[in-house]
Amino acid sequence: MGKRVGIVGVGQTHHASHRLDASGVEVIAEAVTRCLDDAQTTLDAVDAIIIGNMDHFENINYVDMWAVDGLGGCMKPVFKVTTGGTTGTTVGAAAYYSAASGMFDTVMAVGWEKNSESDTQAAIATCANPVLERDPFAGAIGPLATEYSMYMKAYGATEEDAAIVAARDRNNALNNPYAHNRMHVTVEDVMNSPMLSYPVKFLDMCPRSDGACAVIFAVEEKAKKMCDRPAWIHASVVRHDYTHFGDLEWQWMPTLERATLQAYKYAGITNPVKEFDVAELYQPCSTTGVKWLDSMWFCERGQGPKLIRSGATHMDGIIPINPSGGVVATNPIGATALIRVAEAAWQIMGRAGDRQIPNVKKALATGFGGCSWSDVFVLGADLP
Amino acid sequence: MGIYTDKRKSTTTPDGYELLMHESGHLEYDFGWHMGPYWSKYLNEMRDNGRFMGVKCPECGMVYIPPRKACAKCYKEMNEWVECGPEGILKGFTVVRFPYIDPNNGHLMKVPFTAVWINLDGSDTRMMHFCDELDEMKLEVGMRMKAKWAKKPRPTSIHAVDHFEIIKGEPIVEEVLPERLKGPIKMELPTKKTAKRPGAKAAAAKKKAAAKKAAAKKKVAAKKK
Repeated sequence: MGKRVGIVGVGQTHHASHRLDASGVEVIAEAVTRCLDDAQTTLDAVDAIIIGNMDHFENINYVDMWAVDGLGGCMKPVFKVTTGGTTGTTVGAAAYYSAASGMFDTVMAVGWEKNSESDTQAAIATCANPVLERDPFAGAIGPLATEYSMYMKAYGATEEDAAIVAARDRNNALNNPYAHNRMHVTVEDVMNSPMLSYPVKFLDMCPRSDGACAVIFAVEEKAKKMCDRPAWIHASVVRHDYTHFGDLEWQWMPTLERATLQAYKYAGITNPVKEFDVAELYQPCSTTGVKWLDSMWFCERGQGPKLIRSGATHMDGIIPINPSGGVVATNPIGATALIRVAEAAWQIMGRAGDRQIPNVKKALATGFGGCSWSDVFVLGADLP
Repeated sequence: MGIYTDKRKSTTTPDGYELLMHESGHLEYDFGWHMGPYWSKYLNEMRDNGRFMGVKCPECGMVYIPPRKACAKCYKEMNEWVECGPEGILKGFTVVRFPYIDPNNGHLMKVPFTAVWINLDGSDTRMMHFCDELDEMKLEVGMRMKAKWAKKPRPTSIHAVDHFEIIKGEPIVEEVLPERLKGPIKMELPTKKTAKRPGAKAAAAKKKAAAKKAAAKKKVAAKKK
């Protein structure tokens, strides 16, 4: 399994639709500086850096070169990892694996995006096969809308089930000073918002944001010295699926089902709803907040709507999901999944401010991207 | 470094200069994608013969549309060609109403359009295409659909099929979903009582009371001033 590794510091920017006040390199610097301060350390203590974003969104190819000064990467080993939406969790996983391998003691993971610099849907659409699937693909919203149409048919879920999730996350974001969209909305507001792509409405869908996030991973000896309550990594699992969108099973999420099962095995989780104290999940659209619950083994197939309606996933529930407001409130894509890990780590470290859930011992974080790919992190307050 | 202040609403630099955005202007990139033997045959067949050709995996027996060399699950080379369609089952759909930039040409996509995922008869995957029905209320997962071929000469692309249309009068095909992976995980739905975190109600009341007290204190302090 490699060395035991803990998260000792986390930093993120104030996210917004347009961060005209800072260039891409400067938002990276903002996250890195805040992360170093959170870990009460300096760049000298960082042995290696893994950076990632959606590499063509800003039309900058060598991000690892372009960002060196803001990143603090001068004369350090810097690696670029990019896997679409999962980029944030994959830079996290790569940083964790690098530290756990024993090659580096402290590794910083950085994810960032300047979504405002290009047309996000067109940029995302280029991930589909250019000749065979790109034309009917319709960016990220198309497949998410289509998969929910399948789930509604298979299990009788409704548009209102998704609206409950959208209202929950958007209202949670009111407690998060870094969130991009902070507004009070009701389930009716979501239902009445304009239809983007049936059955997905405007307030169901994530925004496109500018922002960055940085997380420092340290091996056990270092982590214990650097932090009084590190968030220990109990599991980090990555699963990829097919190339063609039409190949996938869409009534559930096969990659998430496999990745969580493996992660729960590593972390000794047998009853996720009871054992996790909080979950920060990459749910780019409120429909996925209903549909993917069964794939995370939170409930039997098709029971997502019932779990949502029980209130168990709200702030005062037994498994609060997305206290930060999640992805429907904030979405700088290359950073989004890393923000999930960062927020989960803060919950364990007790640094989550107004959105803090009391006594968090175990937290779950996920990433979603590529062609329905899944990354999973299980974090714990106790050593694994 | 002033790194902790929220500067999201700034319109000028800290010393008063206008914050700039540099426009790239319209960029054009031309690419030539090599389709290889499998996709070439697939597109040739659609264009010239108006039929869909898939390939079958010798290991798991899955028939893939579009065809390709290796089965992703088994990593076996596939050489058995199978004709599929031209009818199939609607597996999923969405009526796209938001306009976005078409990465093919940089212009806005014409909306609304209906994207459909069709399971062509004889294949095990879903083909992504278009449907002429733009009213989501008239579409239902499980409907039988048929390819409407484009007028000749057909383009060498998926647009050799103009669109899919509903076959009227055919019953909805209900799908039998396979059982999920077996795992040692306990899953029970919480009841109304067990759904709430113990102590959450008391904590919320305490927080509210504290906020009220603080507000009252502030009021008193303001009055004294």
